[in-house]
Amino acid sequence: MKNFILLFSLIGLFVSCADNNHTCEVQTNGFITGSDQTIMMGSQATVEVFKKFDAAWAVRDYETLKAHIGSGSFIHDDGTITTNGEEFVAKIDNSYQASLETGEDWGWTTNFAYSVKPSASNDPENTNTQGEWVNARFTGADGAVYEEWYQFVEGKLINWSSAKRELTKAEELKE
Amino acid sequence: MKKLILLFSLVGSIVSCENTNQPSENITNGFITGTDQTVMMGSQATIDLFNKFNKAWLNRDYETMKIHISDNGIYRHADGIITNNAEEFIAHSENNYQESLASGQEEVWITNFAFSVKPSASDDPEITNTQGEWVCARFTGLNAVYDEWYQFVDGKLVDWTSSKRELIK
Repeated sequence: MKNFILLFSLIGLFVSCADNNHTCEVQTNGFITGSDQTIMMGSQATVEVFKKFDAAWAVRDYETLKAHIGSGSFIHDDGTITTNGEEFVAKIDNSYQASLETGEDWGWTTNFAYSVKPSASNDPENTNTQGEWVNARFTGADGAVYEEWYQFVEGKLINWSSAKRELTKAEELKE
Repeated sequence: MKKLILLFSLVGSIVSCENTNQPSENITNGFITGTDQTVMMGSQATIDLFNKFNKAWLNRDYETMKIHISDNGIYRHADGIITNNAEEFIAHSENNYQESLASGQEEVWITNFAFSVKPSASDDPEITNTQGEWVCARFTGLNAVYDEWYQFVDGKLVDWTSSKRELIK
């Protein structure tokens, strides 16, 4: 009897040791149309890059912004596309100057931000697996809300898009 | 000696059993201003609900949509209009559809991606963002791209926002 207990206990021990090599299952869900990819959480490190970028933008520190903008595709909410640091900064400064001319308040509150990344892709032409993506929401000084996506690769922004929701009609009525 | 082997083997077996019951760690990052919350992945079940809702909307199956829209919610449309119940939500959507027909471009869209997330727990009892889960989705229409958020609680949409970006110039 003792030998049987010893035998099963040893088997249990081996199973235990083998099990120590397991990795936790990655939490992922959703879809990206045209691929078999799903979405999973990214890293806090990418959120920190975003925070540095956002802080520079808020104080119009264009040199810091340019240092974190690579060659890429930057799609503004009005449909304009810029492709490098110079163009990007020129476009956002143009918006700032326009707000000065019209006397509108300029600035925003960053409501939230987090980073995600897609799962691996078998398609070598798929570039969405490079780096990580930050999704962030901002409420502008004029009340408009912006939903934005930032793809950072090795500390550089290579893909960005901004979508806008107008100031709510109910809020306009209150003013 | 046999007793020692027996003892350590039994301990190893118990540790092994405990280890297999451990859940995967929730990976979380980011921030929500005004709270100490971070963001983590939600479930595929919420995506499946979103897929059902999105399909009903595409087919203008308003009866199915009504089942999944709370009559005590807040739905912020890209044009700044706010609706609060299924009737208003559907009336606004149908109005947009009829306008698209009148302009000669029937409203259709491609769903580019969707995934679900949820915020971490909050000590603030007034915070409602921890109810259910949120779906983040992008759609490309004929003239614009829409980034949208859906909060589903117990199978019902309770919070929705839509933001718009003009198609590339």
